[in-house]
Amino acid sequence: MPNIKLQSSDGEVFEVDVDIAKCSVTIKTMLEDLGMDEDEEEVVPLPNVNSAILRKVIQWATYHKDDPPPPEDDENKDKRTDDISSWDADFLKVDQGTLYELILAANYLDIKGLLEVTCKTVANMIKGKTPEEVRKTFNIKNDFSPSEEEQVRKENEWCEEK
Amino acid sequence: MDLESVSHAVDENEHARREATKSLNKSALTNPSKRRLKTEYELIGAAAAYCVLSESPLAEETLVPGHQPAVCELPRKLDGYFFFWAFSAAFVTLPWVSLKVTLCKLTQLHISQRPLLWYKSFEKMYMLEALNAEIAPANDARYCHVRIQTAWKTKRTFLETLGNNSSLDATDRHGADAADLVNVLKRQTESLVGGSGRRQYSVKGFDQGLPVGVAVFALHFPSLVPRGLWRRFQHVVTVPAGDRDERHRGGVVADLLDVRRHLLLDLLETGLGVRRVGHVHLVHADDQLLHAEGEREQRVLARLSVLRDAGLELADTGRHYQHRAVRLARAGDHVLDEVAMARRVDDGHVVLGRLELPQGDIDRDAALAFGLQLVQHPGVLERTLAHLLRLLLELLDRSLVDAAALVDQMPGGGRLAGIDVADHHDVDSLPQFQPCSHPSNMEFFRSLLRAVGLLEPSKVDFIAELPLEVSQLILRKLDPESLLCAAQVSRKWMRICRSDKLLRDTARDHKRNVRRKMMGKVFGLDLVAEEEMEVVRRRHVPRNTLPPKTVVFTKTREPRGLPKRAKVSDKNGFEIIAKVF
Repeated sequence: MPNIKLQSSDGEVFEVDVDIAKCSVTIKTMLEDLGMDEDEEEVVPLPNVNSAILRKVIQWATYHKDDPPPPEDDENKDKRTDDISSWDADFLKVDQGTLYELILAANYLDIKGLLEVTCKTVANMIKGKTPEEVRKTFNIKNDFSPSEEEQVRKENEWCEEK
Repeated sequence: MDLESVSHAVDENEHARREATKSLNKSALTNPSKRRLKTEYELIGAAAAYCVLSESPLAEETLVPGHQPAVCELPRKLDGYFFFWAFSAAFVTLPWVSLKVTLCKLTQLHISQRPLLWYKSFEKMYMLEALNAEIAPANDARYCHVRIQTAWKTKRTFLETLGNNSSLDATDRHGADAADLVNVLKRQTESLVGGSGRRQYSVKGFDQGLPVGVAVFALHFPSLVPRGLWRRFQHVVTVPAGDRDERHRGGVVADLLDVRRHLLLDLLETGLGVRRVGHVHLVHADDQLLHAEGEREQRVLARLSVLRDAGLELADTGRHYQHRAVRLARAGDHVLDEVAMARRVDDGHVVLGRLELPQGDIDRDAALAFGLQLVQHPGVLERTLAHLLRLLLELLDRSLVDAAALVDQMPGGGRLAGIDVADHHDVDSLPQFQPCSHPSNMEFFRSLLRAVGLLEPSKVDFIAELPLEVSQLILRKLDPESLLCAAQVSRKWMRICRSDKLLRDTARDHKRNVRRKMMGKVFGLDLVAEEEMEVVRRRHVPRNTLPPKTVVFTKTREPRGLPKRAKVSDKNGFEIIAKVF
C-alpha cells in the first residue's frame, strides 16, 4: 500500500496509508488535484491540525477504513444520536477540549463520519438538559437578563421567522 | 539587559504574582481563567526547578525551525504539560512524551522573541525541556531514552520542589494549592542558597559520562528502560553509604544493587508510607555559583532560569553560566537525595495499610523510596495523592495480577499494550510496560489526573466556538424539546438557532404541536394530529365532503402572533369557529 506523509501543525510527520488518508475529502481532493505521485516523498502539511489531534484522527480513520460509505442524506438519519458504535464512544471519551479540536479537524479535513459522530456526541451532551444544565456542562455564562430569559422561555420567538 | 534591572523587575512582579496567587482559592477551579493561572504557577515550580536540575548539554542546532506557535493552544498544552509529573509518579510514563514535545515545539518560537525572565515567560522554561527532548530525532532509539531522562528530571524537579517544602509553615500548607507551590518554590530557592556550601554526599561512578538520569529512571521505572540499558547502569549506580544525620536521612542508601526483587512493590509500599525526609539538596557541586548570586531568592531563580541559555541572551552577565560544564546540579546527587531507607516506611502512617499486595515477601530492607515521597508534604497534594496512590495501587496490582484487565481498563486504548511479568527475581523481572502502536493516547492520563482531581476537565462552549455550520449540524441532531432549551442557553446559542431554517422549522412545528395538544385538552376534542391534517390537506379534500359537525383545524395563513381561527361550515351554513391559542 502506498503511504502518504501528513505533517501536523507542530511539525510532526505521520506516515499514513493513502486509502486511510483519503477518508478525508480534503486530502483526497488535494491528492487528486495535485496529482501527487505515490512514490514521491511529498509531505502534506495540515496547518490546522496539531499532532495529538491528527494522531487521533488517524486512529479513527484506520479503524473505520473498511466502513461502507455513509448513506446519502436521508431525513431521519439526522436526528438519531444514539447509534454511536461502542468503539467510537470509547474513542470519544475525551475531554471537551479534545473533542472540540476533533470536530474542528474533522470539519477541516472533511471527514464525514468523524464529524457526524463527534457532533452526535456533543448533541448527546445537550439533549435532555435544561438550559441551566447545559450552561453548566459547557461552562457558559448566562447573558440573558432575567426578564429576557423568561420571555425566551415562554415565547421562543426566534423560531417564528420564516 | 542589566542584571540589576532584571532582578528589580523580578521584585516588582514578585509582588503582583503573590497577590495573584493569593487570590487563587478553591473557587479558582471553577473559573477557567484562574484555573489556567494556577496551572501556570504550577508550571513555574516544575520548570524553574528543572532549570536547576538540568544537566545535559543543549543542542540548538537540532531545533527544527519554522513551527508556528499557536498561542491559543497554549493553555491546553499547559494542562498536558502539567500532568506529566503526576503520571511519571504513577509509574506509567511514556505516553506523555509526544504531547510534551508538541508543547516544546509550540513554544520554541516564543522563546526567541521574548525576554528570558523566568517569572514572565514560562515558555522559556519549556524550551529547556524542548531542547532536551529535541535532541533525539523521532523514531530514533535514543528518542525515548532522552525523553525519559527529561521526564525523570521533570518529575524530580517537582519532587524536589516539594521535598524542600519541609520547612513550610502551617498557613502555607493549608493555603491554596498554587500559592503553596509558589511558596514551595520560594523556599526551595532558599534552601538552594542555604545548601550550596555543603557537600553531603559523595557519589562514585557518575563521572563516566553516562546519562545518570536514565540510570535512576531505570530504578524508578525499570520497565521503561531497555534491559540492555539497565545492565549498563548497574555498575554505575554504586553508591557508598552517606552520612545519616537527622536532617539528611533521605539521602542514604547502601547499594542500589541490593534492590532486586519486587522493586515495584517496594516502591509502592514505600510510597504509601508518609515519611519525613529532610532536606533535599538541589545544589551541590557548584558552590561558587550560588554564593555569587545568592542574596535574594528571586534573583537566584531568575538567574537559574536563564542559566541554561546563558549563551543566548545573558551571556555578558553570566560569568560562570556560559560555561556549560558549570551546572547547578549534578544528577548524581539528586539521585541519592531521593533515595531513602525503606524501613522508614514502617514509621510513617501508612495511607493504605490494609491493602494486600499480590506478592507477600516484600524485601523492605532493600526498598527504595522514590517519587511518592511527595506525599509527605500535605500542603499541595495531600488529598490528591492519597487518591493517586489508591489508583496506582489498583494499576500496579492489576499489572501484577492481570495484565489483560489493565489494558482493558485503559480508556481509549491507552498506551500500555502489554505487560509481561517475568518470574525470575531480578530487576529485569519487573513488569514490562511496553508502548503499543498508538503512541501517546493521552486520555488515560487525563482521566487518571481527573480521577485524582489534579486536572479539571476542560470545558468548551461548542456551539459558540465551532464554525456556524458545525454548530447547526449539532443542533439539528437535537430533539425539538432540547432544541428549545438550547436556544435559552445564551444569546449566542439563540442566534445560532435562529440562523438555521431547519432549526426554526423544527422548533415552530414543535411549538404548534404542543399548542394543539393543549387546546385539545381544553376543548375535550379529539383533534386530528398534525400529520394527519397534512395528509388531508395534501389530498385537497373538499371541505364539504367531510362528514358534518366534524371539527377540523386547518392551518391558516394569518399573520403570526394573532390567534388562529379554524372555520368549518356545516350544511346549514353554521360556522364553527375555534380559536387556537
